[in-house]
Amino acid sequence: MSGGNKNYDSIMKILLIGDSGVGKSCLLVRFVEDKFSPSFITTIGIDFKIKTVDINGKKVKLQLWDTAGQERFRTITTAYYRGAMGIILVYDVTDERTFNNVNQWFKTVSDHANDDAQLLLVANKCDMDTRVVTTEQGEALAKELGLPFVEASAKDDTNVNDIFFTLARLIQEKIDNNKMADGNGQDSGVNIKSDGDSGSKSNCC
Amino acid sequence: MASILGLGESDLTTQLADTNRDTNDLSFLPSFYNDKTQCELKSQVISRALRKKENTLLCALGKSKCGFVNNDLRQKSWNTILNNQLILYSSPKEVNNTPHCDEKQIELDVRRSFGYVKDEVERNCLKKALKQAIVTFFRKYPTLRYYQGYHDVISVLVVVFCLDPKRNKISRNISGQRRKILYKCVEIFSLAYLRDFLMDSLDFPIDQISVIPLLIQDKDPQLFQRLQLDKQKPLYAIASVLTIFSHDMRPDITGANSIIFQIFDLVLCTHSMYTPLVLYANIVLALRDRINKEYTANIGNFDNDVDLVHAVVQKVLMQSINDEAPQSRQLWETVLDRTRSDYSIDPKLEKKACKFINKTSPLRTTASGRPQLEINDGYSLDKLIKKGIVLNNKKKDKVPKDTDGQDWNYDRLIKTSLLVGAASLALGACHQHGSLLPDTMATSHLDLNRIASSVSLVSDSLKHIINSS
Repeated sequence: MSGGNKNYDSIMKILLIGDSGVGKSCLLVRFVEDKFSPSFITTIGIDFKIKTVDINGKKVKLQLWDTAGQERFRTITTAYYRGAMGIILVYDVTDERTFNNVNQWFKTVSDHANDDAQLLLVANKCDMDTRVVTTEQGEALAKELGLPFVEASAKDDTNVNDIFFTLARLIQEKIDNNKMADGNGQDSGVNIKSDGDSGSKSNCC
Repeated sequence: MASILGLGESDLTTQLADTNRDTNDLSFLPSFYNDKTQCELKSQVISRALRKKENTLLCALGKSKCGFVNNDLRQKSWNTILNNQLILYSSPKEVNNTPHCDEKQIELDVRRSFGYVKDEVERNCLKKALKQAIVTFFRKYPTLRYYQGYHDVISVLVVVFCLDPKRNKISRNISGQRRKILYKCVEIFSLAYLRDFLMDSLDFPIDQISVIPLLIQDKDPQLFQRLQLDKQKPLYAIASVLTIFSHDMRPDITGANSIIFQIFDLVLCTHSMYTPLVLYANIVLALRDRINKEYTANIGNFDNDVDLVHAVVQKVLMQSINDEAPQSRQLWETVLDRTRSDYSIDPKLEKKACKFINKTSPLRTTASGRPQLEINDGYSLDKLIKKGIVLNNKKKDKVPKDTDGQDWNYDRLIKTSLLVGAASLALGACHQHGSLLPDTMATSHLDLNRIASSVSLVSDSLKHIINSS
């Protein structure tokens, strides 16, 4: 099949970042494959997954980039911030250190991502009894940084779809607003208009 | 069986040990090793090589088809080869119970390891052994840093060494003796092969993956262009390189002779960290048609070319690993076979690589492909590590114009330490030559290799020192 045949209306590049072990890959696997394993493998460098969702009647292809949490990989992972339309910043409610590091991650985003990238703060593992970071603390930090906030659990599938749909909608709104502001009807970013043909799934990343 | 083949175990041994024969040329072997019985014959030859301490032969066997055949022979062979590769006369600190700064990360990654092992007792046993092996190593070498993926590499060693050969299952209780052997192998493997990855920054492994474009350009300039390897580093290769493919290919605990074990056999028997880079280039080359197809199908689907190339290569590569179809296993076997014959680096290419690879890198010292060369102690290794950091910082401080690295300006201290390092290597080789270690005496030409390699290393080092003056 050629690159001209699309089975979607637009594409969004989304990145998951946050400390090691907060559950970035688990959230992603829950969302893409609806699976969960407590001993999910470590991400080394950067991994790529894809899922097509329906946003306001349009087929949106989400390109999801999962990153390694260990600090030494930041040299590599920040190279992939370019062109990200959405960034999901994750911390673990049972590990205060990961919550305290959110500010550092926010700074990394400011340094490397597009100015108009839409951010979302996610508090993962909200099902756990061993929680040490309260919902109020999370909300307060989100407010301070001016970010939308979702509490989730990849384990019991709480709000996982919400994370991705909320973010996709916010990105779509931005695109629509920009279009209106530009007044030229051109799609921004990597939006690609459907030509009506449906492509073979296996041949498309 | 030997009579049918017309060759007995000892005839085969003689053929392989023939010093005039290129040990990489085992073309007369493959037809023997196509089925179970043929592997059995190979097992006997490996056992004999171990018994007779014929290390050249052992390495020749490890880098031929099927590698060391099973994990029982593999334990013994890896132990023998590693202990010949790097002889640690003394260590900076034998016992250190001060926790290493990366132990929290180690705990996080060990906790997530062996998730594929169904039996809980076995799983916990492996996790425990893995954690102890990693922590013991880092407490002994506090200047080295843990990286995510190191646990995958060590998992392979743990699975091999925790196998109970009698039951062909994971031992539930690993003896103190076995544990000691495992720790020593982890130590030598980490110091001699993984050192670049254990440095203070990712710059060292990123330099290593920059060798992949050179290898691909050499064999397929079109693919080189398509993957834009002249413009972008293949960062997508980082997980495969850092873990010697063990991140994506889990070590099988059923005692099967999986591809991942054979990859490690090849790395150890070629004494070279170029081997994983050659293997990576070879698998990408073998998958070129699929890569080209995916690339064409996805032009326009990505914000930029870095994303496009990454997504395409990762997808095709992962399919080739995860696909359970026999063709996938066959593909990896073919690529591994190709790598067994073309792992050695062309001197011109090596020269190009040396322009950006740190002088202290395993690629230029302890795992450069020179057989059984390095004789060192913990102290000089520690110096090597510190020197590597200094050199890397200097390189980073340099303006990018210095791409060929020829005009690096080393200060007096570095020049002197390089000279001292080179001289100590030569002395080490001479010391080894004069010693009465049975392994060394068993194959007389080995010492000459050591001396020759050391001399070439000394002359290389001197050349660099002169160039930088």
